[in-house]
Amino acid sequence: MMQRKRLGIDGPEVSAFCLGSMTWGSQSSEAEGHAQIDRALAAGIDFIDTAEMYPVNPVRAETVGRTEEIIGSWIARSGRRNDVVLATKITGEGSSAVRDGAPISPAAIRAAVESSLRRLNTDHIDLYQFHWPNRGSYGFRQNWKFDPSMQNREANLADMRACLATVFEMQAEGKIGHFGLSNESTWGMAQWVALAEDGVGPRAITIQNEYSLLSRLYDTDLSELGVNEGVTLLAYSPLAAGLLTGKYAPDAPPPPGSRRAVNANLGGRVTPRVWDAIAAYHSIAREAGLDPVQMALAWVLQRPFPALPIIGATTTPQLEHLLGATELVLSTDVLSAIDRAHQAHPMPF
Amino acid sequence: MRQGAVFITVLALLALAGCIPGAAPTLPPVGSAAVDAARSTCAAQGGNFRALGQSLLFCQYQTDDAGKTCTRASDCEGACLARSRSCAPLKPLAGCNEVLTDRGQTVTECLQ
Repeated sequence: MMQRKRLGIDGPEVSAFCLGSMTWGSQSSEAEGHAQIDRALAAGIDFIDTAEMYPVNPVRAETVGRTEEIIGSWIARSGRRNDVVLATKITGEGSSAVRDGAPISPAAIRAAVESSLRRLNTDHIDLYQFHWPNRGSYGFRQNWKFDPSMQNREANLADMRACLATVFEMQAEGKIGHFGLSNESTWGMAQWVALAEDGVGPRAITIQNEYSLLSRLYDTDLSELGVNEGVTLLAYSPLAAGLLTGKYAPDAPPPPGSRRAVNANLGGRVTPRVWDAIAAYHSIAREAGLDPVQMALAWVLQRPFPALPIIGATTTPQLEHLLGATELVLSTDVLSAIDRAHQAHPMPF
Repeated sequence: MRQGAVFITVLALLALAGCIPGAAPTLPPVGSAAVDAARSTCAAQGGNFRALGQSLLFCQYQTDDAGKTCTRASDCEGACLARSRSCAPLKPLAGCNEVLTDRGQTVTECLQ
């Protein structure tokens, strides 16, 4: 029986696993994407996440929106729009493939929502997210050189206010159900919540940030915000772009067709220290008789703050493997061993 | 003459009654009081009070048949959305939306 969770305080109830889609249209075909949605639904997963800029690996202007089109063609073919909770995102500033890198703005939000609705073959997006903040983000390994010193508080808040007001309008038009952020910081989330409480727009129900056994920036300030403000973490890359599967090794070529075959350092995640950390978690799983991939996913659901993992697969058999995590509950012994491994191998990337 | 005196007395008493503390007038609220009253009524009926621009205020409700397949307006509590042929999640819808009429024709309906 698939566990279910409510997003935020008043969001929809969804499956505790969200189906990711970001390589449908690049590494995976349309038919593969459709097969994954069908398989996920059969397993009780009814929450799908995408973005206007997908597919990735690589992001290209000519393929922007292709993943949404694949989901849209599934909706048209199956007629099952009402059976899924659909989340997508507007691209942030600086991606030359989308709107020439323009920032998120009221006009961009309006245009992007309309384009996403058209590609998705729907009239309603259940969760609309900002992919990353206009003011910049420490996501995607930018934490190593993060410098907010040039930010201007008043300009940031004016920008956020204008964008949130537009989200409010789109919500009243029935085109957006709920609002969420991605690659956000604690300061940013606190401001979004405060603006919502001022009546500017809808309260954010989710934050989609990277989170896994190997990437735990969320554990402190953001987790506290999540608990106190009722914001659910949608944990992306819960398998650290495949590193936690154990299929990559420091001295061996990556398997053909894998993500590392097209992105050698996996977006800055391949570091000298990551291999020992992976080995430590695999050792814990082996001693407990667990599958390490399933252990990594189940662990996200047992964190002491609202969170659920976004799972992604290149192939349906890989998805099948991940689905084993939906029934898994980790023992306190395993959780304690994970805590020790985390302290021994902090922040490997 | 006597009847006229009684009538004047009654009028005077009614006028005085208007000055008695706690005797609320029954005139409908105006201005911001009217907006507050409408907001309260909307909330009491389970709606969301919305403002579009400076002048258009309306109460918006969630529909019970959101997402249901439809082919014409009468299939839905609110609008039947043209692209997905599904019932709208809210009524009324703000902005401009392509909807199906009762005859199943696509029209653009605007509330702005």
